[in-house]
Amino acid sequence: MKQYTDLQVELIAINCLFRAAFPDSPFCAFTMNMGPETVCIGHRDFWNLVYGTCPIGALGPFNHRTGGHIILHEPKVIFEFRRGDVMFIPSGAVTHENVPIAEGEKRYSFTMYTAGGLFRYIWCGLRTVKEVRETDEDLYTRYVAEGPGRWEGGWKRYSTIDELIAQARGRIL
Amino acid sequence: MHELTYVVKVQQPRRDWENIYHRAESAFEVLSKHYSLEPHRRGHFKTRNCGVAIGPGSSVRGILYLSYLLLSHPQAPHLLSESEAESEIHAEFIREVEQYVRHFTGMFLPRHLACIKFTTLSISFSSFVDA
Repeated sequence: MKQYTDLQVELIAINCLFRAAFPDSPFCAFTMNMGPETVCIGHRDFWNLVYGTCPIGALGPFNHRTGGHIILHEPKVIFEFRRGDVMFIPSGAVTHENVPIAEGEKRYSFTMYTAGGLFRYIWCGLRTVKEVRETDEDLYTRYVAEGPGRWEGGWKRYSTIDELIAQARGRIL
Repeated sequence: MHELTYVVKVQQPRRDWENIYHRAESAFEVLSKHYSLEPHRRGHFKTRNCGVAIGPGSSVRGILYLSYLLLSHPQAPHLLSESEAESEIHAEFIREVEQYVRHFTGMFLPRHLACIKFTTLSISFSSFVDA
């Protein structure tokens, strides 16, 4: 998450209006899925930082035993997702969808994310990749060459189960 | 246990959580009255994004147009488009869900949340295109 909060600092330096809508949040944007039957078809949130995490919460009166389950395609996982539950997934990389809910039930969802383009904008020295490609060959070559390192480094930022348990208990391994 | 964990389902807090998420649900109920159903790539439900974005796929919020123009080029980061009326509605929504959202962000604060379920994913680096 340090990468996310560092990005926020950079963005606020560009424009002080780019503060997070929620003061404690490291994410730059959020989505309000107002239903009344928020049931997603399989998708990846391709605007997100691809290895970045994204919290998703479900709300509303629906039977989580019969609908609203989360389906994650690549890991081949389906699990119940209750009203009030929150999970974190790399939503730009993992295809996800919901099991439909029953007629008359309501389901909302709330998600937070940061666009990958914002990170690329900072990595490219406050320019888009397209601009760099057209105007700065050296920087563009370096940016492309550093891609695999960013990719692997990004995924390595995730924690192991042991580390998560330790953090949940208030200590660090 | 030494593999990296990419998906985490967070335990629901014990105290007051029901009241907190009921309040958030009421905020969704109110908000949804201001929008109509439109099909989109993720399904058929009302949806709206807020916050900072970048690129040609999103437009600039009206009151920030001047600061947007002051930036050096047209694809700079900007706040997602919303009318003044929407801005007020969203501000009210944010106030109502603030406590609920703290559950999303609390793990990034000093006191970490407990996690009860973990799912490990095997992701091959070659499976995806580098963004």
